[in-house]
Amino acid sequence: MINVDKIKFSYENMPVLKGISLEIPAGKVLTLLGPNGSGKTTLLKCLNASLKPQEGIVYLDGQDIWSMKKQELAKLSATLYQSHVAAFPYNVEDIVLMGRAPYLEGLFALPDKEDKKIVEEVLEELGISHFAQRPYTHLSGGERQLVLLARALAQQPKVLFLDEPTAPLDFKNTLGVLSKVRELSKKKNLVVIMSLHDPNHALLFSDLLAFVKKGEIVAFGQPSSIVTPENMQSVYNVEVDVLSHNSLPFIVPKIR
Amino acid sequence: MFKSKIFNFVFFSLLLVIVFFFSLFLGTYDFQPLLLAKFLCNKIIPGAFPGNWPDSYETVILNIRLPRVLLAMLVGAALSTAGASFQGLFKNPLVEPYTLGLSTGAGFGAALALAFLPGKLSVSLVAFTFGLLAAFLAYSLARQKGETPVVSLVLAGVIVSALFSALISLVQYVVDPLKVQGIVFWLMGGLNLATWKDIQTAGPFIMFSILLLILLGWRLNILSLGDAEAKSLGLDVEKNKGLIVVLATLAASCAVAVSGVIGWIGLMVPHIVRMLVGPDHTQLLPLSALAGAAFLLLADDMARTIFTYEIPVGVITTLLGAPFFAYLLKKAKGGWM
Repeated sequence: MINVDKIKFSYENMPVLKGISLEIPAGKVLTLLGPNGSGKTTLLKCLNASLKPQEGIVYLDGQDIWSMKKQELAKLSATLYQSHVAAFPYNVEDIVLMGRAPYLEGLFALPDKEDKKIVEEVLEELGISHFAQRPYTHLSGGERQLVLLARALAQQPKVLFLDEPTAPLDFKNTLGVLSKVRELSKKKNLVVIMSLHDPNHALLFSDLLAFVKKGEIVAFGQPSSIVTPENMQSVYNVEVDVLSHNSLPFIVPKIR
Repeated sequence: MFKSKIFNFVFFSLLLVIVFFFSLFLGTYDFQPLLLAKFLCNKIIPGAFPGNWPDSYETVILNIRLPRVLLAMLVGAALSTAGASFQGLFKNPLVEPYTLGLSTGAGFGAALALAFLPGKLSVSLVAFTFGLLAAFLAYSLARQKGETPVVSLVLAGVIVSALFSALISLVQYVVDPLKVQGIVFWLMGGLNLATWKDIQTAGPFIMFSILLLILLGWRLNILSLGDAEAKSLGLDVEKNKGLIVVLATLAASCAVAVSGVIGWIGLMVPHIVRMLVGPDHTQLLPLSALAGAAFLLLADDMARTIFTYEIPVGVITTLLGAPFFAYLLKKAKGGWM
């Protein structure tokens, strides 16, 4: 589904990505873990064509993303940024409707009934129909992330990129958003690629995990097999114990 | 109250129609309302409504009041629509059509023409040219690596404004003191010299750009979320942004060229309309055009009737605008709406 072939990216003369390759099939959730400044966000930006890598190619559905029109790309992939604050109090419904933009042909085209129906369905699916008419600016952080997720779904993408989607959220909302994302990935056969900070969230909600360190993927595979004390030590320089609870692994840092 | 789109549209249209007729009747020369209505209908469909009216109807209404009223509507609509567009584009309810330095550029053009060139038409033309030039200068100054961040645009506007206001001072300093009066008066903005010629030259451009801006309303909604968001929704951000800047600048430059610098209306009107009907630009832009037309008409009515002599309408709009702005600042405490 998404195929990343040896991409390299540097800002000015500072190399940030040093040859990253990945292959993620449909229906899988990949989490990127790594310390701040390791290149996770830059990698996501290269994947959604916000940044153009100096070397290497990203294939989406078999096509080089830089050979596609931005509008076509927006039908295939959607991105959720860390947090977003709108300057104007648009209704939730209007915000989600904007997800239909890539499907409108022509400069003056407006969304039609079909688009509005899709928006209704998406709101229903995420269980947020009841605040369709509320101003987006009056929502809590968790509600806002759900609205943006709804907008991303309205794009009907095959790939979903999320850059630290839970950074501004509390404990409950974090779990809510992540389990929703995982559920959608299975239901709609979506590729999800997200960056997270908490290895335990990665263990709970992803099928695949990549440790990113200094612009390289140093470990890749099933979360339970690569979240090891050795990897945590080498990537984060933190000592941890891996425990097991209900046959699920989770990690506890050793605090001295 | 302002929940239904159709209601909103009818409400603001009716408002404008009422203000239009009110303004036609208002003035030192009195008309009989019914006879005037007949006279106007007869003008639209010749011979359909015969009646007896004095010749003064012809001269006062057709040559003096009607062009002035129509020009006020055009200019008000242009400034408000341009203001609403810039506010949406810059994601900031506090910018106005002059943010890119357009008014000081046009002011310098007008000062140049008033000081050194003969004829009134050349004043409009030169003002228009320099208004566009200033906006273009600010836009290209703000552009770096194919992108035009909003902060750079605002700063570039400040720089260009500073440059042109220094140049205006220079012109005022070197020119014949009698002409300085004309320059100062022009800079204050007024509609007292309105002619049919102004409407013919500026009207089509203003109507054209307002119409296109309204049609681009939905895209403006998306652009107002910010560049990164709009890009991720597949929009060609730079192309759309450029198009909206050009159209809004065109509308505002035409308005400035025929009326001088009339401040605040482009900031105030979209703000009030947004408070009433919400931020959706497919509604906000057409309603701002209607409300702006009505607002400037009323301001101009005040300008010509409060005192026995005329005061520049730009002074009126500023006198209304500054307290309004102060009120917003206190009320909003930084969180806009």
